This record gives sequence, structure tokens and C-alpha cells, in this order.
Amino acid sequence: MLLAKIVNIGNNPVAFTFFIGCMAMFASSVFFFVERGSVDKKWKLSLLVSALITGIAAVHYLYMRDYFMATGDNPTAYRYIDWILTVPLMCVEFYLLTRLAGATKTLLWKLILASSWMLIAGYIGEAFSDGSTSHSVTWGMLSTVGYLYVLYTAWFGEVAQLAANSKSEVIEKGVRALAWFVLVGWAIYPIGYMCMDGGWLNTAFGWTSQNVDLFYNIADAINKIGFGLVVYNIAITESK
Amino acid sequence: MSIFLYIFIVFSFVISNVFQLFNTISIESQIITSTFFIMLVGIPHGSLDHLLIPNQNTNSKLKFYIFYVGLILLNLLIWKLSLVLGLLLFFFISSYHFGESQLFKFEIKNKLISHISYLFWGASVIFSFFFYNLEELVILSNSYEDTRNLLSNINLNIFSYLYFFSNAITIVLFLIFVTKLNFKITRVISEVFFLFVIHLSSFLFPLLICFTLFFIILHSLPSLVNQYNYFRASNLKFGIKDFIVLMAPYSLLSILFILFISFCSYSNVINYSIPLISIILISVITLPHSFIISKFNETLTK
Repeated sequence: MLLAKIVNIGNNPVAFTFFIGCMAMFASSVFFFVERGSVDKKWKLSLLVSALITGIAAVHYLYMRDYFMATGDNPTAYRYIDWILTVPLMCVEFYLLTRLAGATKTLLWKLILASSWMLIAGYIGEAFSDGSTSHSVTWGMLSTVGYLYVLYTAWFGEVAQLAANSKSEVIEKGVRALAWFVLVGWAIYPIGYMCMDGGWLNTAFGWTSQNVDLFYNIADAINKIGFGLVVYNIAITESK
Repeated sequence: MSIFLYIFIVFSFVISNVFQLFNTISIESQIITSTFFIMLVGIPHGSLDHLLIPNQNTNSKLKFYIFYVGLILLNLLIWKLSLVLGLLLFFFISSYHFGESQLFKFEIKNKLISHISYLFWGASVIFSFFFYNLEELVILSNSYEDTRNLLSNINLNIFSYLYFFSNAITIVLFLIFVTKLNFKITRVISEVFFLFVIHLSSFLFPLLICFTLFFIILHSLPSLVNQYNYFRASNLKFGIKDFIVLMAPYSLLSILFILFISFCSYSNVINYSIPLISIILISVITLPHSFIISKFNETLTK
């Protein structure tokens, strides 16, 4: 039955992107892992983390693809399972990039906690809804607090300041590029949250979570692979 | 991203959640909230115009007041002669002023390009408010006879034409920034993103809310910060309290005057509705204010 459905994905863009997303993440993971050999020792961990981010996502996209093909529903739980692992790892990258400029383990834990908070609150709001608007708004706002903290830290807070003090233009530009990913790329997630039934974008504009699945897949691929490529560029340039 | 854009994003999230919780924000609540913030932040940002031109002596202060009041009276005369002309002039001046406040930091050497950039960037912002909220604009203007008559003299399609035209010109100018003026592409992309966020908020939020968000957070607040830093640069002991004390006289005077005029309108002493008289008052003060801020911005970039 699944094979029959797979054969007919041509006119289903969401299914299409699940397939592409899965392979793109897998290929990126292999690339980052292999390229560890091309960079200095101090950058190998950063590339390993990039490989883990895309590798974890590749496996989850495999499951999400199958779930979507079998049911036609958005694989909310699988998405959050993926994000709870990969998003904190992206925050770890900020720490690794600014470690040489003095980033502490405290910063690392603050970013991990903030990103985990963002995802857990978002999941509670989305998956444990009692149908009331106040539930989704409350947990949505709580989740946004975590997002805004990471955003602030990357653009104005400790991460931005450490990057500026790193005496490396490559690191400064790279951290700035990652901050753009957090601002633009991660914004798709609260937008998707507001598209679920009863959400503001759903009631005001008729946007549904079905519409957003496609954008989630594209945004996920760009966010994770793009994020990793920025880290790779820093590592390769600083290793010359 | 500037800290002001960050604050804008935070407030946008809050407002979107308020919408989700209450399904709507009543027009009365919008008017009250907008008026409050405009009085708290918007009016003060223009209350120090008399102190922003350096090296003033008694003679030059007199010239300043003659110039300032003269432009106000001239603008009032234009409104008296033709409401439509007054409104068009208001759009023109506001567009230029908004654009200049945002783009002056590029320090564009070519004067023609700089003036055109300021005008069309600002127009892109202003007409985005109307383009995405045209129905609401009509509903608001229909609340009073004079505003209804004023809007009925304007072909509403003009807002769409000006929206697309100003955006097209702005994009072309940004391309010129990169290709001919050699500004860093990352810097220009930041500006494009900034403009995109403003347009997005115009699309998502009602007219009064999107305008107030932009005017307070992305226009008045940065201007206030520039002015504060200017005073602090010449006196390190100058603090926030001193700044507030400095702004207080003309801010309070303006607020009292607005309340007085609103009362006159409400009591039919003057034949203009509160919304129309508010637009006229803001318009007449914007003309001299934009001249002064333009001069002030020049001193900041020297």
C-alpha cells in the first residue's frame, strides 16, 4: 500500500519534499562527516555536530515521510522529536564557534535550555490542546520567550559580543549568518504554530497546518543544511 | 538586525497573540492605545527640534522660531486652500522624512540618489499601510463627514499604483546601492529585510496598529536614541532623567494643545472632526520637523 502511494507522489508537493528533504539531509551528513578530515583539529567537533544535526534529521524525515504517505496527516510528534534533538545542537554550534573567543559552558547551557524550552512549550501547545484558544496562546507565548532569548543572544547578547571580540572576520561573519538563520529560518516554526486549528493565522487568513507542511520541509532543509554549510565555511577558511 | 527591529518583532508577537486570544482588537482599543503611545513617544521625539541645531545664539534662535512657525502657518494655509493638496503634501513630506530617518546612515554622496531613495523608501512604507488595509481606511474615513468627503475626492486605486511604483523604485535603488555605490550587499539585504518586516506587519495587522508599531518603534525611538546620544556626547553627566526633563515642556504643551483642539472639535467650535484635525496638526508640524531632523542627521554623519 505504501509503495502504491509512493508511486503517485508526482502531484503531491509535500510528499515530494519529504523525499528530497530526507536524501538532502543524509547527503549533507555524509559530506560534513567526511570533510572533518579537511579541517583543523579545533573545528572537527563543529563539523561533527553539523553531521549529527543533518543525520538525525535524515532518519526522522524517513519516518515522517512514511507517516505522511500512510495517513496524509502532518507528523507533528515526529517533527518535535527531531527538533528537540537538532535545535539544541544548533545552539551548541554557537558555543563551539565562539569557544575560542571565551564562550563558557554557562552560555552553552543557557542556549540549550532556552531552545529546549521553546520546543517543549511549543509541543505542549500544539499536541496537548484541549481545544481552547487560551491553551495554545499561553504555550505559544511561553515558547516564544525561548525563541526571543536565543534570537537576542545571537544578535546582541553574549554570542554576538564574543564573535565581535574573536578577532576573526570569518567567525564574526559566520556567527552573523547563523543569527540570520535564527531570525528568518526559525521564524517558520512560530508561524506554523499559529497556522494550526484555532491559531491566529488560521482564523484570520485561513492558513492551515497542511499549507505549512511544505514550508516546514523546505525551511528545515535550508535551516539545517545551510546552518551546517556556514559552519563548514568557517572551519575550512580558518583551517587554511 | 537593529535592536529596534528586534523590539518591533517582540511587540508583533505579543500583538499577534492578543489577536489570537480575543479574535479581534476593537477600533476603540486601537485608537486609545495608538494615541497613548504616540503621545508618550511620538510627540516627544519632535519636542527637541529647537535644541538640535548646534551653535545657536539669540539671533539664530529667533530665526529658527520664525522659520519653524512660518512653515507651520504655510502648511496650514495649504490645508485651508485645499484639503486634498494638504493631504498629498503630508504624504510627500512624511515619505521623505521616514526614508531619510532610515537611510541617512548610508551617507549617500550622490544628492539626487539620496533624495529619491528617501522619498521612495518612505512612500513604500506609507503606502504599504494603505494598500493592505484599504477597506479599513474607507470604514474609518466614513465615520466622519469631512474625512469621508476628503477620501471621496481621491481615486483609491492611486494607493495601489503608488504602492507598486514606490516598491519598484526602491528595489531599483537598492540595486544601485550595490552595483554603482558599492555598498556591501549584506547591508542592503538587511535593509530589504527591514522593509519586508514592515510590509508583513502592514499585511497582518490593522491600519492603526501597523502604523503605530512602525512610527513608535522604528521611527520615533531610534530618533530619540540619536538625540539622547547627541546631548550625552557633549556632556557625559547627561542622563535619561535630564533627557525627559528637556523633552517635557514642548511635549506637554503639544499634548495640552491637542486636547484643547480636540475639545473645540468635539464642541463644534471648529468645523473639523477630531481625526481630520489630528491629521492636519501632525502634518503641519511634520514639515518643519523634517527640515530640522534632516540638518541634525547631517551633523551626525559628519
